[in-house]
Amino acid sequence: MTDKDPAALLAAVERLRDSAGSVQLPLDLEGAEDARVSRRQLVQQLDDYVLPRLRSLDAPLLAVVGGSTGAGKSTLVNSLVGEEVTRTGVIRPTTRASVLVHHEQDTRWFTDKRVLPGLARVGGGAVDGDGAGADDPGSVRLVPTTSLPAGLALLDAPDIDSVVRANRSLSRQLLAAADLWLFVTTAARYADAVPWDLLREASERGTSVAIVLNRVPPEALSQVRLHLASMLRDQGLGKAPIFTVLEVDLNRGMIPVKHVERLRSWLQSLASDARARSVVIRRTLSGTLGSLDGRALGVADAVAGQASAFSALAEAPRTAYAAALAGVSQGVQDGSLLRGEVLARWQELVGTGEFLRSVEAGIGRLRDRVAAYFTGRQVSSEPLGDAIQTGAAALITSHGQVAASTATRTWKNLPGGPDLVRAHPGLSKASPDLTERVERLIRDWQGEVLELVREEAGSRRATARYLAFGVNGLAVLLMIVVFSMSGGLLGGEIAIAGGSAVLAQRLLEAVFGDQAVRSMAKKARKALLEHVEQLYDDERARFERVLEEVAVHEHAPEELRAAAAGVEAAR
Amino acid sequence: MIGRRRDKGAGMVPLTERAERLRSALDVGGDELDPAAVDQARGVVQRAQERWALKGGRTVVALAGSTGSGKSSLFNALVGGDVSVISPRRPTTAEAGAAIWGDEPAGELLDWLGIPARHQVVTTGDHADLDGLVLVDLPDVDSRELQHRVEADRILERADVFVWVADPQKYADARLHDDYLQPLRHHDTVMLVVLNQVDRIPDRADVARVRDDLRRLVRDDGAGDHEVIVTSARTGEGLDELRSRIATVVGARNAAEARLVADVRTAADRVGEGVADQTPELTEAADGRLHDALKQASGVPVVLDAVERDYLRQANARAGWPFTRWLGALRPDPLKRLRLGDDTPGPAGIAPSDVRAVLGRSSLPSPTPAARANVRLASRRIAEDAGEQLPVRWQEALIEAASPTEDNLSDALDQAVVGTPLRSRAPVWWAVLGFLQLLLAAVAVAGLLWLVLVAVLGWFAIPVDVPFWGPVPIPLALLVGGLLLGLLVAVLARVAARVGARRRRRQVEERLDEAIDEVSYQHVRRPVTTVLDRHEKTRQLLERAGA
Repeated sequence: MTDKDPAALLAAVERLRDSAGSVQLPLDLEGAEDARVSRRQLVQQLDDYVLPRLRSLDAPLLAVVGGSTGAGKSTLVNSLVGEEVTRTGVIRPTTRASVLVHHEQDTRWFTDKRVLPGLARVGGGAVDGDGAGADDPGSVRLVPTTSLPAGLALLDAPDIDSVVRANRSLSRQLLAAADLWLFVTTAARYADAVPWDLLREASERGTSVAIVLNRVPPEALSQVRLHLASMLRDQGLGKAPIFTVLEVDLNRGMIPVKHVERLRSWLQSLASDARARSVVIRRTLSGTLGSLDGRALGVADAVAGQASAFSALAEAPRTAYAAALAGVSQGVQDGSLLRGEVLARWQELVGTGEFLRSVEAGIGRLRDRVAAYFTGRQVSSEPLGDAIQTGAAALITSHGQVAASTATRTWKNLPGGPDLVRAHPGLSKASPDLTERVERLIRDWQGEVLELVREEAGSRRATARYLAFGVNGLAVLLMIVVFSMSGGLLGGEIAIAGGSAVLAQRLLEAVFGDQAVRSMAKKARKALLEHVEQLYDDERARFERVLEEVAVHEHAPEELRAAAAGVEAAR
Repeated sequence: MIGRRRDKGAGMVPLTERAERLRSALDVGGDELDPAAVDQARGVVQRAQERWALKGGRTVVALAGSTGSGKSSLFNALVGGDVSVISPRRPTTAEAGAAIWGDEPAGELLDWLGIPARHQVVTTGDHADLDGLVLVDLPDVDSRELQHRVEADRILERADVFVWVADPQKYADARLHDDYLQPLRHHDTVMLVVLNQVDRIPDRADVARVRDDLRRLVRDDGAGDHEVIVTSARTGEGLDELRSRIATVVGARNAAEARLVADVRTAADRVGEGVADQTPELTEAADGRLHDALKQASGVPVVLDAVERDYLRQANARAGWPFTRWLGALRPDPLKRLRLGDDTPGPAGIAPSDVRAVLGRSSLPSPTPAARANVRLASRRIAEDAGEQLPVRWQEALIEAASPTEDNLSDALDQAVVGTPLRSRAPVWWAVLGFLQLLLAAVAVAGLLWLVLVAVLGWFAIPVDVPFWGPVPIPLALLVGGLLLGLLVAVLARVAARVGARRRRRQVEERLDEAIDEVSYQHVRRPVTTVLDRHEKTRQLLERAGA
């Protein structure tokens, strides 16, 4: 890292920090929680350690005392400093907030938020029982002292493995901010799984580590020490110095000086030797910088997973409403709307199709007159228009409702979807005013069809046939043609629905001519489908709004990967 | 059996019955339960059966805990000899070892536990109270050696009683509490908590504080409120208490059952997360919606219109004014057009409609897309309404059950309509009025003929004496009266036919409603109810397994 331009490196790391800080992992996918944690840890380590260390390489060395609960970390710190700066005790976990002990001259390095900006600074010297902030994991207590050499600070961290979750995450954050790990373990502890997971990580990153083997029964010293040394060697930490402290009776809560003398003098020499200190600092920094790439890529992969889950989620309502639109479009085309009530009304208007074909028009009219005489009813196109309106409205409404239900159901089966559905319970049903809006839509469309007929009629307004049906009647005929345009009817249905459509088309053609009817029908159908599409878009927007809350930026993973590559290139 | 002696409390339902219920619940719940939970529960049932087959009078007590908490030291202290290797080197114990008290053979049980290392304790006077005990020294639950943990977990699944050994350094470790104690929801009768190595705490007041803190942590884990036994294998403190507590458990001889019952209850709880507290019922409103949608889709309104028109047509043909009756014949038979009419039995006594009910389909127009979509929506809504409070897997099963294949459904609907008789016996008044009409027509024709006769005779200048009713000549009265009365009766008949047609429509509608209700029951409601019943049964079985 030394040969490259430090300013470029700093800029690259800052970019990575911004990039990692801005990515979101909002969906509850499998492994999302882990990814969120590793993203948070990455950002924290950049803020807490990498950026401040890059900005000032000559700042004091920060040694974090970490380890298992009950390993005697606090006792060790107190003994090293020679006064009770942090609370000790038998109740586990004892330490819940962190204490930073430093030489008086170094105070300026720690009072501002250069390192560990997320933790509030609490002043105050020696521990005073349950003083304010003593147990607040969000704060760090600064203790200036003269018993530590300048250029070196000790941070007493909470445990890594107790039942208190806050301790575990805080201690990991603090260890990630260390220039040097002072890893405390005991004769009973040294084969525990949790600390070794951390040590393996440290070894992989190249963090500088020193091991303190505490509370060793004198009779077990050599055996345990040898075993620990071989375990460390296996882990690639063979160069880490081991300091053993025997299990002895405490003297006023502190380990007698002679037992910690070796560790203390090692720290002293490290503090006074600028070169050695710089080696330790650079080693850890370089290791951490090297690890950034892989970790950022891991987060980027998780973000990419989120992005693809997000796009699958975004696809579901699109598919559902596209299917609904296709259903409406098909229902409009295949003449099936012309069945049932529409058919009955149509027959009422023009006389029974079969009859009309078999008997001369005159008799048909006579029969209609007789019928009208007995029923006292005048045949009009209005009921037919209403029937068409009802049929089309039902078609559009039910497809809209099915789409909402389908989209919700698909979400329930997609990763990250169930939580969205739970959070927005109304999604599975169409919006309450759908029926109303569909009716308005049909009315608008019928208005447009009327307008279309009127425009097209132009000069033909005086013709007998035009007058016979009136503009309303012709509009209804046009709708019938619209609803049967594809002519894809099958078998017996042609006789009923097809017959009426053919008749309607003939009648219209007689007024407007072949070409005009075709283009009018095309226009009218296009207008209807456009209206429906608009309506379904509005319906779909309810899903889009939900998605906006959990939006994953499509390019976020690439940006993160690029930033990581930038750091890799600059280090 | 001890379990029978204690006829109150959690142990009331015997283990075999609980296990059987849990197993049935898993079978009934099927795919609608969380597969991971089901796997685990099946394992529990399996182990319960295996352990039960080996029950005898033995009680397996396992010493479990973190590395270095002194399990092996305690084990040796209880056994009274150096059986387990004790060493400062961690982790020490790689394989479980067992010590056996009493004469009852334990070979099969230990084979099942998978413990080859066995030590028969020579029972002297002060060991007699532990008769029947199989004490197991487990590897660590938190060591860095993965296979140690696997071995410990395997035996922990099978042991009858857990003795959790903690020490002042490690008693608050997350591994012990989060991974091992928290899942033990119902095991408080089969576990002991020991705080070992108290000789390492110099201050006696601190011992009490640590003990209380450990008790609090275990309570917070939800594993029950346990009095912590304070021991020191080195000084021998508390060993007698531990021994007597173990002796009590062993003496009761019900620990195996209690542990398995606790396991079954825990598994039932976990599987139970996949069912709701209550099984919902089908709502009337959704049912009504479905009925309406099916009615529309099966073309009932069209049929009813045809029925009404058919009635009018027939009434006209039978009781209409004879002079215009022929007009009606020009119109097609509305029911025939739908291939529904013609119920007159043939020579063999079989009506064509009967044949069609077996073979054919009506030619009712197939449902409009809107009607089809409405059916889909209504049946799905039934499932959604019913499943609102249920876990997702059950919701899916309901929706699946409520989605009949479209072909089957429309076929069934068609059959329902075809199979419903649409015509009834012709009303008497048709015949009466028809006869009256014919009579009146005959009178009018007679009058006409008479008048014609009179006119012809008059033309030939043959004098005819026409009788008079008052001022009106009788033939004229006959003609006009016959025509007028005929028209009057025709109008009356038409009114009556309207009323009759409406009544017929109602009758047929009721019949069709019934038929459609049957279809909706067969194709939607019954499958949905089946799923709901399965849910209810699973829920009850789980509840009773975990009671």
